[in-house]
Amino acid sequence: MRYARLATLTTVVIVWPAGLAVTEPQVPAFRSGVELVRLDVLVTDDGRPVKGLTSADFEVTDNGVRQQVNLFSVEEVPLTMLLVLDTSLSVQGAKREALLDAAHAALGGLRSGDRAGLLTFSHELHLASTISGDLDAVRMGLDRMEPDGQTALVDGVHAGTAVLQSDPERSLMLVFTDGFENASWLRPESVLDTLKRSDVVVYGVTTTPLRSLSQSAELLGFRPSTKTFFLTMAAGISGGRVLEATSAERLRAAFAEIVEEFKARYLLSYEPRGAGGPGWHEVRVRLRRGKRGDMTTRPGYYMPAGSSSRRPVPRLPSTPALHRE
Amino acid sequence: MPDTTLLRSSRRCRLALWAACVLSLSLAASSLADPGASQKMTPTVERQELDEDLERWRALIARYRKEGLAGVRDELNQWPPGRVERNARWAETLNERAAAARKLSLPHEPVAPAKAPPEVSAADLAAAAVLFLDGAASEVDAGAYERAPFHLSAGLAYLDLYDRWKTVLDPPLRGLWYRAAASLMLAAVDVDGFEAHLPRIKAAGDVAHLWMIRGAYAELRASPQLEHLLRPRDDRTREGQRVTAARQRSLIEEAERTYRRSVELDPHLVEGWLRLALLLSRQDKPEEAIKALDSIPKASLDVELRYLVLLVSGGARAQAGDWDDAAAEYRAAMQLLPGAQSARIGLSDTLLHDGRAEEAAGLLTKRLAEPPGAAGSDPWWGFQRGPYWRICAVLDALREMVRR
Repeated sequence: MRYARLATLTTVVIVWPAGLAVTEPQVPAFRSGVELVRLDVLVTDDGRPVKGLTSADFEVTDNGVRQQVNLFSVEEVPLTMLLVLDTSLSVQGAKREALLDAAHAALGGLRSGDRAGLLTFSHELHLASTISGDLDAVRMGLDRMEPDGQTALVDGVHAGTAVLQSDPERSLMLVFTDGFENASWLRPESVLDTLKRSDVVVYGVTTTPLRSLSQSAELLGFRPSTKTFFLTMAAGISGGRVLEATSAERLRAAFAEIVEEFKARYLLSYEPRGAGGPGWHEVRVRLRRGKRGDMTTRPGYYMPAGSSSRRPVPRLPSTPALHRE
Repeated sequence: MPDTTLLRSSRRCRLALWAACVLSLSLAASSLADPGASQKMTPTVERQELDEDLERWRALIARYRKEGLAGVRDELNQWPPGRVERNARWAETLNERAAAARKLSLPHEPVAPAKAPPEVSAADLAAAAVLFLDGAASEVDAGAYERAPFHLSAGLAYLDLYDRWKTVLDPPLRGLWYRAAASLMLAAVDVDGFEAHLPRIKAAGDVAHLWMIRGAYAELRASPQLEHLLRPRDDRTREGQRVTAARQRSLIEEAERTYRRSVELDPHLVEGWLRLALLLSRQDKPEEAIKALDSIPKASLDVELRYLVLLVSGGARAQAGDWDDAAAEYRAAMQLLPGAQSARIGLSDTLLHDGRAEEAAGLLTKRLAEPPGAAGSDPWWGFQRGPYWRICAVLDALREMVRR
């Protein structure tokens, strides 16, 4: 594909440049020049994250071909969270206060070494706080939020992807909206396609009853509309999910839950072998016999035609936390 | 906090709408004071009520301008729901009457029917007639088509208010308010009557505008939530879906037909071409959209329209997979209006598709770090809101024609 890049979103193809391997001796487990696919996986049982799994518990197929996987200990991999918050006119008064409270709760869930940023969107986007380890700067940005205008959700998610895609950490985009897209320039399909090519995991929180809307559409035999269900699709395609929050308490809980859940995910990687060349690769992850759990991860990744564009090397913990099968 | 973007992008237009709204009520009140005018109305019209409304509007507008939303919130929530509801009924009644008059090929006269619908009082109808005339005192030869600009301006005023204040209005009042706005707006689009007046109207360009407006409404009525129905259906299609799809399809076809008619009447109607191109893109026909854009006479376009042409062209080319061409169009748009957001977003989209993530982030970061409003407005924000674009100029042109 002409514009295919060394890509990934939840599933990332990482090129390990030889030079950098030398300067990053703490990552001895990876050979330089090897292409890796990274999978950010959530395992739940009865809605609760399952902990304590090892690489031996996972079975991964790439285009139907079984792969040998490695597992990072995510507790020791720093994460980057970009809050992408709807500040259209409808988010004012009590709703604004509840949103601020929830965002503060999400920031409170980050660990030392994690980083965060804040992007707000009405019809206009505003990077209120660039990504950094200075969480107080993000808090200050939150307090300055002024609701106004319409809802450019699609443009907001695109900008969030662009900002996070150039960041080397595990990337969480936490998106909040209280309504539907009505002001963006970009087509939803284009942004979803970009998400497929990045390693950003999108989690959404909405006050709109999307689930019942979706069920109604399903009952009537409709396929979901890209515009209406954009956030759901963005989350699905990136390996995240959307939570509905109908009260201030639920909003706070949803934000906090997302951060906790993201921290409890598993980070798998593998060198794709025998799974075909450039293009879309379908990935399936499941637990081996004897283990129970529902898997949430990216449905696949794009293998680029060339390797002209290289993604930055992820910053890994100084103590190697790599378990080989 | 007032909608500052709107204030920036079309302040003059909105002020004119506000003024039109106040003027409508002023004229209504003055017509009631005029013994000649009162013969046209039911004597039960309550002068006091209209005066009161007028004063409320004036006070609200003044306070809103001075204090912003916070200053008028309480007042708005105390606005008598009955009046808004009545306005909605006026609009609906007028729509029905306009439709009936058109069927009979009669000039639409705002007279109270012999028997008022049970839910609408004679006073309401008379007051509606006064509002409907919108300056009967000044517009002598209004004719049937005067209703469209009036409804449009009144509807826009309502919608403008609704957009600004919907979050602070109590839900029942909010619903009624929106209904009033929607009814008025729909009445405005119902402009078939204009065709009958074509011989009287020399300036084809203005008629083209009306066709474009009508197309925009057909498009709006084709709910974006059902957009997917335009695409090939899978085998889960059911009867109900087919009906909805057919309706959706017919509205989109109507919109396309109407846009095409508007640019046929006036090939210099750039907005008509732009809306046609966007509609074609929406139907996954980017090549046709590009063809439409190529038909736009490029000479003597103002900066905002040139920006919009480049922006829409960039989007269509990206949709067609011509990423390099799309990037070139977006860059050209950015050169025209460096602060505008949409072209920059479009360009960053092409960069991300090309795997140039850091470049895309760099392109956005500096611009997006500017506080909202600081980097300048984006013509897309006004344009995408629908046919409100430069509507005041259209209305002025129409009024001028009527005067002639």
